[in-house]
Amino acid sequence: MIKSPLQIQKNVLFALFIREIKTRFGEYKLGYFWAVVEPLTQVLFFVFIWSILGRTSFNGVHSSVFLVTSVVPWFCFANCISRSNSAIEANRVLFVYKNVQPTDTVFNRVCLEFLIHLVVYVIMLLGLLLFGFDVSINDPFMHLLAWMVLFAYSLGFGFLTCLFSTTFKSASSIVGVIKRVLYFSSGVFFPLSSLPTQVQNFIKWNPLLQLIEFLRASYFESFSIDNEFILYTSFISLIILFYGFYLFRRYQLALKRM
Amino acid sequence: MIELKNITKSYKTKGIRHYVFKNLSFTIPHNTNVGILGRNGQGKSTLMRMIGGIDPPDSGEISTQKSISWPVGLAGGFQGQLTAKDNIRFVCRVYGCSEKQIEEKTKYVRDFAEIGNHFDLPMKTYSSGMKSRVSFGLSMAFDFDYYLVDEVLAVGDAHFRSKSQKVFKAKSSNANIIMVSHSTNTLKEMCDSLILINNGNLTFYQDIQEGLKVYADTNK
Repeated sequence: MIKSPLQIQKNVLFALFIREIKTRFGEYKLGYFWAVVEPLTQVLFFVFIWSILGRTSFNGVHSSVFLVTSVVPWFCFANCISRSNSAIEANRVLFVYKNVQPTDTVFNRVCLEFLIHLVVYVIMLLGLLLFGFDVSINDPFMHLLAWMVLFAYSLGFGFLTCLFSTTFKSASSIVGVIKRVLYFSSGVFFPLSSLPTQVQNFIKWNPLLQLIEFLRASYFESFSIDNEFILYTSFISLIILFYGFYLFRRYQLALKRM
Repeated sequence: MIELKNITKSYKTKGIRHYVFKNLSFTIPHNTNVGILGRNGQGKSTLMRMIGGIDPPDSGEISTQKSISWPVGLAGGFQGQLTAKDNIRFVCRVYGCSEKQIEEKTKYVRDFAEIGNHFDLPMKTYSSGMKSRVSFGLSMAFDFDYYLVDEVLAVGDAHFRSKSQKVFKAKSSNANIIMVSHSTNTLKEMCDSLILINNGNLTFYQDIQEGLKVYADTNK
């Protein structure tokens, strides 16, 4: 019955993964539908808004393609946060099995969200391809790297919000407010360059905005990002990841009981 | 044998630290099925959780060479949205069972629990009796040296209890039970010896009858 820690970890993550898939999409499997429809309506909405404002393309990229490459990553991040937020609460009963630790539940949920949203991403890009849009990726390696940085950022953020809202249950609505602020300040539906310079100078320090700019710059040839900002957003993401993990581990026993 | 060495365990509630155990040293002997009895709030479940390795003590050490089950209790272990079958598969996977072993254990619990079609319905629809059948059955599907059982048998009916007793007796040549219950009948059915918990102290009685008598006398 003795197993190596690595084997135990693998078993636990696999078990949790299957368990999450069974409940993630709800009893009537409507979740599958929502996973695509939510970002899709958002993309369509902003394509519509921008066309009213007289813009159908950004740096030569059609607004629909432009929006898919930022709206889907945004939903991925946002869902990671809300799923991490409730990870402890939803899995509390499973902590009677000593190998199941709170960190596993958050890590597992974030992984599942990334898997789901990468599938949604591919589906939507293939859809655009069918409609005759150019969806080729300019620098696939850098684009993958950008997604990996997004993963580090989301996981770290997930650990922190989960720790915060499980510890201070009454304050968990703050997480919703933070998400709203990030949504409007991270360039999800506009490029940084479309803002006035004064606003740019201020808002460009938002690491999530730079992450989205990084995703775009690696996807489209006509978009660019300064290397310093790639380093900046990667560095911040790693700090958030390590610090979030460290704090979470430190209080994980208390989280089990709360 | 499970050895508790210098255990201190406390909880903080509303800024006040409350000690459940202070510098407790105690040995739970082997080859005996032990019942644990004590008034509410004396730390019975805390003790189970510590032995089960899910809530370690503030200081001190719990050592044993034996394998110990998860605390089989009413409160936890199962996800309400999932069916008994899915929950069982989850636990099997956590313990690293192969697909074949998962099938075997699922069948074992299905036969043991005797809850018919409910087995494939979400567990939030179960009565506490049905839940306890599944949770006790599942622990019996695994081979441990010690089974930690927290009150689950008390909510069962006579048929379930006699069946549990029979299944456990078949295992008891190489396994022991450590059981928390407020029901003296359940304790007498399953256990040979008794540990009384009182104000952070543990007292062991080799003969359960004697222990129960002491408990009854002190709680008149």
